[in-house]
Amino acid sequence: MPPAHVLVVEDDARLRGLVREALEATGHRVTAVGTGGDALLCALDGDFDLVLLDLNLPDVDGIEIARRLHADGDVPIVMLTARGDVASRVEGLYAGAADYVTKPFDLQELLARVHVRLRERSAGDGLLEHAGLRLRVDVRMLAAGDAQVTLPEREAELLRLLLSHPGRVFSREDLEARLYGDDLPDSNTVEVFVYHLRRRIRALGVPDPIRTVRGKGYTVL
Amino acid sequence: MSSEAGGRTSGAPVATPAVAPTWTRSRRLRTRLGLIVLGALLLAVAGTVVLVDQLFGRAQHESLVDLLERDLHRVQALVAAGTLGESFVEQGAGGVRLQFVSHAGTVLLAADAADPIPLARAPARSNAGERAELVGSAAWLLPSGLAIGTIRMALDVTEADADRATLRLSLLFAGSLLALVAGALAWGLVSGALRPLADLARQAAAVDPARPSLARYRGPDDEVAELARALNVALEAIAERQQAERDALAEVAHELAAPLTVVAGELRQLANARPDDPRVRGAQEAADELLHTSQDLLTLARGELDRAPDLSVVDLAEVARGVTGAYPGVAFAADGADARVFAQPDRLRQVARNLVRNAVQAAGAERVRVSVEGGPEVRLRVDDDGPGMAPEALERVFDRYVSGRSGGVGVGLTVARRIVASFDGRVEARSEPGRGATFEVVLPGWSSQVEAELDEA
Repeated sequence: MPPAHVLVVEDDARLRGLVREALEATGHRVTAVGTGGDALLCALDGDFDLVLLDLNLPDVDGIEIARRLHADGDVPIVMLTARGDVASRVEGLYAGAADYVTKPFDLQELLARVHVRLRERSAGDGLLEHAGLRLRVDVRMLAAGDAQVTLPEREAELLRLLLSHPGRVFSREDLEARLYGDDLPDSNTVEVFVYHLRRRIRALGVPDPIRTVRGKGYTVL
Repeated sequence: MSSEAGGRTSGAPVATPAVAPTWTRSRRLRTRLGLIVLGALLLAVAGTVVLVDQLFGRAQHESLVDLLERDLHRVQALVAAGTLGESFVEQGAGGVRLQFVSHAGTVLLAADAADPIPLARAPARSNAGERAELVGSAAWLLPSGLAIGTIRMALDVTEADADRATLRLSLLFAGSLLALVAGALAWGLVSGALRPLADLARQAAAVDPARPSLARYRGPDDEVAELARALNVALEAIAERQQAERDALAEVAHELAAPLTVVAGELRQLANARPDDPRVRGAQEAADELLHTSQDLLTLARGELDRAPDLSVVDLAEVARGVTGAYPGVAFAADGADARVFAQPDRLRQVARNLVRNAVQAAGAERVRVSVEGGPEVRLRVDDDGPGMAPEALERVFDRYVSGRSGGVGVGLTVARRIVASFDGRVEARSEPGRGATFEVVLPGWSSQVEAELDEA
């Protein structure tokens, strides 16, 4: 994996030091700050590949920081939380968090999660390839063999999510939150998008890799 | 001896024996109320029939007596005036017989002398065979004022009697019909009135002590509504208490989280840097254990298992191999079949770690075997040759804060069971004292969870 630039936002100095050392030991460049204000300042001129963000900061609410970071660009955010309650998780999802790690955490577990997100990021920028499908994210171009089609915005985003996490199950609520944020659409919109996506993929002449997991959501295999 | 665990409930199971009597009692109450209403209705109908019949009979009798007396007096007056001829007597009138009888009792003038009318000072009934008559008499006065005998009159009341009988029958019929309809109506009303009660009883019996939810009540604002309110006050108090405990634990967790992470993390780094120092390695293992036990406790305390897991396709064999690797001496085997399941990777690791740790604590690493079987059902088996457990201990081994063996807080297996249940799987436990124990996680294979896609033309 190419070395990445990670922003660590954590108010506990010892924890901040530990995470910084561990990330640096695996070859990444780390900027570590202790307050939300510093985090926002860094984000202004820093070019980060990932943000590790403590939800419970002394000055600014972590959710608010996630929202602003997310609005500025699509840097993946991994949230650190000590309370792990459902409400803040859902809120964080709306605010653009990619993942959650609950304190106390196993350092190895945290590093593994960070690496997964970084891998997704390096793939998510340009070309996604899976099961004979190629998705060029920037121009929303889906191709298989010689055939290709341009996808509508939301369908492209839906397929990008599914293709960049093969095997991961996205629930309808998850997909809605990621596609729409707070502005929730009609209840069956996701089904409709999936239906259209499947038709487009089959029209390209390849088997459709999208699977419906009974009562759970969608995944690609 | 085997004990199976799955489903969503935790803590004490719902006491089934307590449910049945509640239900029968509510049924008996309904029957009892129905019978009371039915009895009251029948009594009312019977009473009405008897009362109306008696009143009608008396009124009918009085009006007939009145008629008879009026006719008698008219005849008496006509005879006394000498204006009534014999032809009138002999001819008779519909349903009325008239006889003139001497003081000696000889019928002197009658259409039917062979059928004498008995003497009655006051009007009275006279029943002869099929015929029912009302008989009366008056003094037979000559125009001179001399009394020479009695004028006797008989009024045929057979038809009046028939009318009364008809009325009685009609009343009985209409009353029975009414009682039947009203009875059915009452039965329905009683059942309806008791339904909220039965419903409430069912809800109360189904309350999960770990997550009490308020009872819903639909019905009028009556005694049952009062019961529902009282029940909900109690349930709310329980829920509040549990929330307070959760909040307190979350607060403690918040305080402990950072230092615990730092200690375990730094020791891990140190152990990586000095792999040959047994004291560092020991400290690191202890710190990891502390970390994982806290994670188990907090997973439960924070209610994290109440929300849906983030599922991915995970190879259980790979997870089990990784976890087993951290316990040198534990044997591992996989049959090579597809062992992929839908699960949340970190939680699945937590499950495997808890089962292996439990076995290692009971028997020592050298006597623990871990194996994975793939297929439509994927199985993770952890066998140990430890001291095993008695059936009573085995039954309670998944209960929160109950440690089946010496050592351990007793949340590891509870957490494992609940995590596995959240992946639609189950944990089975088998053991006998002196013969070790087997814990087995059974999860549906990934392919059985995926809907068959219909290929459209």
